[in-house]
Amino acid sequence: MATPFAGYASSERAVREVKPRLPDEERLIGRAAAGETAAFRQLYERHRTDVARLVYRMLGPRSDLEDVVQEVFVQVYKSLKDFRGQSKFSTWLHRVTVNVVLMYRRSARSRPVFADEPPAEPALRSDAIAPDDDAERRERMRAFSRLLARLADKKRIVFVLHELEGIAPTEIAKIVGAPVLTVRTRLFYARREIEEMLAEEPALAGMQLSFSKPSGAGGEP
Amino acid sequence: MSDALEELIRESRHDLGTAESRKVDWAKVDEGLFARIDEERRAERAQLTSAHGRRWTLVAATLAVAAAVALVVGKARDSRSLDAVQETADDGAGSIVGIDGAGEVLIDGRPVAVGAALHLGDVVEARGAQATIDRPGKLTLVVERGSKATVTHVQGALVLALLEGAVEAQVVPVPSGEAFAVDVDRSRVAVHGTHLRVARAGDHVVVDLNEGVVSIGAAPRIGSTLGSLVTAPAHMEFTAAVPEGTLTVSHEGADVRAPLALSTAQTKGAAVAFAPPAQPKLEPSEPHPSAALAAAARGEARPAAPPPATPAAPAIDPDAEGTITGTVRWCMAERPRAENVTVVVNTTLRLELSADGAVRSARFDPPVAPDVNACAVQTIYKTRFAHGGSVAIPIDFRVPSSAP
Repeated sequence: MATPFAGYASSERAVREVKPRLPDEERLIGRAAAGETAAFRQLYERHRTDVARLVYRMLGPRSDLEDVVQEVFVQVYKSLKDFRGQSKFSTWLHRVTVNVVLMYRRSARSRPVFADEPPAEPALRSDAIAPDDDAERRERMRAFSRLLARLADKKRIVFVLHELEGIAPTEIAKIVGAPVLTVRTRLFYARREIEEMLAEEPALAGMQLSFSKPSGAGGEP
Repeated sequence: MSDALEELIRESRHDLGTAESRKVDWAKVDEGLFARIDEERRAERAQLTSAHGRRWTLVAATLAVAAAVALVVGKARDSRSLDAVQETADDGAGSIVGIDGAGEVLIDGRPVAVGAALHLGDVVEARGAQATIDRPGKLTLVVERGSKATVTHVQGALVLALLEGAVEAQVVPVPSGEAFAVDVDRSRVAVHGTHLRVARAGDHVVVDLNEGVVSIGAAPRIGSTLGSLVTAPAHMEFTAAVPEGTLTVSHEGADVRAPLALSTAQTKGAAVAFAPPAQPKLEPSEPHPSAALAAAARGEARPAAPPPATPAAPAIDPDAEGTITGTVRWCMAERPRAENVTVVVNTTLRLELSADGAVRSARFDPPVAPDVNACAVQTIYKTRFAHGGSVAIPIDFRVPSSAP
């Protein structure tokens, strides 16, 4: 029987590209916290794309991505005066983002769905696809998004933060407010569930098959 | 983890959401976000104003009851409580009474003229000109050329976050608590009543104190600043991020920058409920600060500060430690508390003395309540020891319950 942490060490190879903290960031945070709108705008412009990508990864393709990102930064503005620099700003920003995402998930669940309402998972906008994009790769990403959406919120959040954003479990523990052990357990079960679901997605099942071919059986190197 | 999942994760790390995040309609987000922020700021101000209104009503009712009680008891009251009430009734940060220089003064990025009011959350920026701000009866403040500050607190004490440059202020002493404070990042320079200038160059902070006492420490979320108490005249320097570990103090008169003449008609006439420690009193050399600043703007020499009168040195107290301990005890006993509460105090007062025995800096370790600190500081700085150096006075006592 697999233990919850089997294979964990190897997955921790996932190291995110750590953005060097800009030397003026601390001052900028202080000025924004003091109510300077121009400083807040700079902070927002510096981090908005990362926040949008994280929101997309946690919520999947949806039409109100802009609304969620806006809400994240409204919450950042309101709470910045309470940020005392005890944790890294990026950790704090992730925490705010996760809280807003969870709030949106809760409100979406309680919202009545009408019969003629468009599906919650709209197809990717055609203009979001560059002409030279690989169609198969795009389809894999879409399928992977669907898999992530099937995970429970708590598992999806730790999976996205660790595997896609490259954040260490100790830092995730601070973001989600749970013990490190709990984070690792959620991560283990998230991986296991995704592994199990891979076969159910045609675009991903092929990928699984190609990797399961024994080496030396004529496969490409 | 299977190879397939590893490969999928590797792809996703690069691809998932990357294109979508770059295609967000940022103009739409910007518009909505900053409209919401404006709304938040308006709501914050409205809430503050209404809170003041409610407090004023409550205070008026309390005063009526208190007056009745005083009549019955026949006990005369001083004007301290009334002063405190009047302080809380003001919800503005003051208004601009002078703009001197060729440039402009902006509030929240918009150019303003003399008479513009300053409110909580406003960012005041002096671009090529100096702004003189008056809070009637409380303080007169100069935001120097090229400086920028945000108003972060207006209830009672005015608190500014200094973003760039320097501010200089003449502050009317208050009976208790703090009258004015300047935050530089996470550190705070708090004053009870004084003349001071706070300047920053990046993280380096320079404070010149011409009068009174300041407290320098980490900016508290609420309440008074528990930091190093420094008495005038003093030139202080520290790093904003770690004021406690980096603070250096010089009491040499030559090191202290000469003050601007800032006393106004309002500050001169204000009622002061306590006498600040014996310090050189700055007398106004100009009728209004804007006149002095106008002279500076015309390229004339900075108005020479009147030489500080040398205060009469207090006599050496043969039982200085006993005097201070007694005062702290008295301050603690005078605090309002429930009848059935016994107060136990265990702290050490650490003093740095000059060669002639005068107290140069004082610090309670661990800190005592801010109001006890403010009460005791007056006596501490007036007490003269028979020797110089450092002194640690253990202060341990109980104030027993007054319940029968």
